[in-house]
Amino acid sequence: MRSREQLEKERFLRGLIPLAELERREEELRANSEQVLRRLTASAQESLDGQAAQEARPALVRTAKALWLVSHHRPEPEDMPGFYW
Amino acid sequence: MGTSVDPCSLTVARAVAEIRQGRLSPVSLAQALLQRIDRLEPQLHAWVTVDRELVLEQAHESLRKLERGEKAGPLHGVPIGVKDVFYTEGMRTTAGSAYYADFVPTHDSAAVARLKRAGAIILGKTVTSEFASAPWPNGQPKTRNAWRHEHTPGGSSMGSAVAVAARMCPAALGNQMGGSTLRPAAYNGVAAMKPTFGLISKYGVFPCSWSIDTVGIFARTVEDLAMLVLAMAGHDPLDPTSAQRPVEDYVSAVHHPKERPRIGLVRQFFFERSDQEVRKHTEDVAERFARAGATVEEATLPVSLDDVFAVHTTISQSEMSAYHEELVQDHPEAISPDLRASLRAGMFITAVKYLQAQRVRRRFRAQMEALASRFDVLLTPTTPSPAPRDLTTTGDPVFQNTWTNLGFPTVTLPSGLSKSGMPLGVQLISPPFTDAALFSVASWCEGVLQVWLVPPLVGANPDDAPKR
Repeated sequence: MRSREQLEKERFLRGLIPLAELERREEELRANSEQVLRRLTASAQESLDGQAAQEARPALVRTAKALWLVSHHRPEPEDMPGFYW
Repeated sequence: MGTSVDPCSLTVARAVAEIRQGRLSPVSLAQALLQRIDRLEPQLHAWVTVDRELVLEQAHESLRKLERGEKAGPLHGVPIGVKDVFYTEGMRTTAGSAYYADFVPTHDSAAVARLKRAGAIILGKTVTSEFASAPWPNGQPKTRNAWRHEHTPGGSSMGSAVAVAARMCPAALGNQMGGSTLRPAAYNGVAAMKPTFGLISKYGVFPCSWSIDTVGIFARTVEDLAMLVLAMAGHDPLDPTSAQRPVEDYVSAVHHPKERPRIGLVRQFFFERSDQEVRKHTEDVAERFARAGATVEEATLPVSLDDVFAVHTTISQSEMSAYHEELVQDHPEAISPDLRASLRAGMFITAVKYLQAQRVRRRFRAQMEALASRFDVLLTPTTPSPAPRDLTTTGDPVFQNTWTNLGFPTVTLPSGLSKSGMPLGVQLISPPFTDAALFSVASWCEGVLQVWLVPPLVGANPDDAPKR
C-alpha cells in the first residue's frame, strides 16, 4: 500500500480522480491480488535467503497485482505469439 | 570554409547542407560541439564518454573524403550522441552499470554501424540509468534537466535528451522499453521518435525487454528525426525481432506534410492522469490543429490501460530477469537494490503467466490498431505534468507504456512552456508500420505549432528556429 503522501501526489497529478476513489481502487486491487502475492512470497522464501526475500517484497507486490489483472483476460485460440511481425 | 551561424544551433539537415556546400567544415562543427560540451557538461552531466581525439580524427576523415570528392552519405560529418547502452567498437559501453564500467565492445551495434555508414560521427556516449531501467545508478542523481537543474531530466535516455536540448549535439540515440525516449524529450523541450517495434535493429544494444525495446531518436526537428530513422531502418538478420518490411522514404514524408489530418484526441485516461495545466494545454493544441484544418475527434480507448500496463509489467519483468539471471546469481552486489529486487521478483513469474501476457498483448494490439486506424494519428499529452521538481524520480512513463508495449510508432513534439517555464509536449501515435505517414502528420503539426524551445543556459539565438 502506498503512503498517504504518495496518494496525495497522485491525486494532484491526476487531478480528476478523487482521493477516495483512488484508495478504493488500490484497496480492491490489493485484496484481489492477495492470494497471488502469498504464492509468490512463499516461492521467494523457499529459494532466497531472508534478506533477499525481504528486499524483493515490494517488487513482488507489484508483480502480484500485474499477474492478477492479466489472469482475467482470456486470449483467443489464434493468439499464439512466437514470431514477432 | 566559414558559416555565419553558430554551428551548435544547426539542425542535422542544415549541417549536412552546409557541409556539402563547403560552407562548414566537419572539423569546425565537431570543435564547436566539443567546446559547447566543455562549457555546459560540468553543470549538466549528460555524457559518460567523450573521446575528443577520436571525434576530431573522424571529423578530419570526413573532411578528407569531401576534399577527395568521395560520395558523402546522408549524415556526412554530423556528430551524433549515443546512449551508453549501444555497443560502440573501441569505445566504453557501461549500460549505466558498475559491472560493465570497463566494458569495451569489439564491434558496433547495428544502429551505430548504420549511422557511421551514413557518414555520421559518433560524438560520445550519453548517460543512462542502470541497464536503462532503474531510476539512478546507486541512487545518485547525475544528469540535470537542461532547463532547471532541480527538476528531473527524465529517463532512462536522460543524457541524450539533455545533450540535444543544450545544443551539445544536433541529434542523439536513445531506446525505450517504457517511456525512456519520449518522456525525457518532453521534459527537456526537444522532439523524439520511437519507431514501430522491429523497424530498427536492436543488435548490439543492452536489452531491457527484447520483445518491447525499441531504438529511439532525439532531435530538434521532425526532419532530423526522419533522417536518422531512414539511415538506420531496415531488416537485420542479426536481430530476430527485426521486421522484414520495405523501408519507406521518411524524409520525403516530412517534405510532404499531411494536410487536414484526422486527429483522434484521447482524453480518456490521459486527461484523468494529467494536471490541470497539461489538460488545458493539450486542448489548446488540439484547437490550434483544428483551426489550421485538421479534423479533431474524440477517440475512445477499446481496452483498459491499467490492464495493458499489467501485461507490460509481466512481460518486461520476465524478460529482464531472464537476461540478468546470471548476474543476479553471481554478482548481486553489482546491481543496485531496487533493480535487484525487481529482477528477483521477476524470477517467480511462471512461463505460463508470461506466455498468457504475450497472448493478451496480441489481442490488445489488434484492438488498439482498430482504433488508431480510424485516424491519421492519435493525440495525447506526452507527460502528465512538466518535469517534476524531484531528482529522486525520472518521472512517470504512464503515457508511453501502452504504445511501446504494443509496438506502435510515436512522436513527441515540443508544444510550449508551462506557467513555471518548463517545457510541455504532445504525443502523436499511429498504427504499426505507418511510420512514414506519422512523419508526414508530425511535420504538419510542427508547422502549425512553430515551437522551438531553447533552454536559458544556452542563450537565445536567432538561428534556433530551424530553416528548411
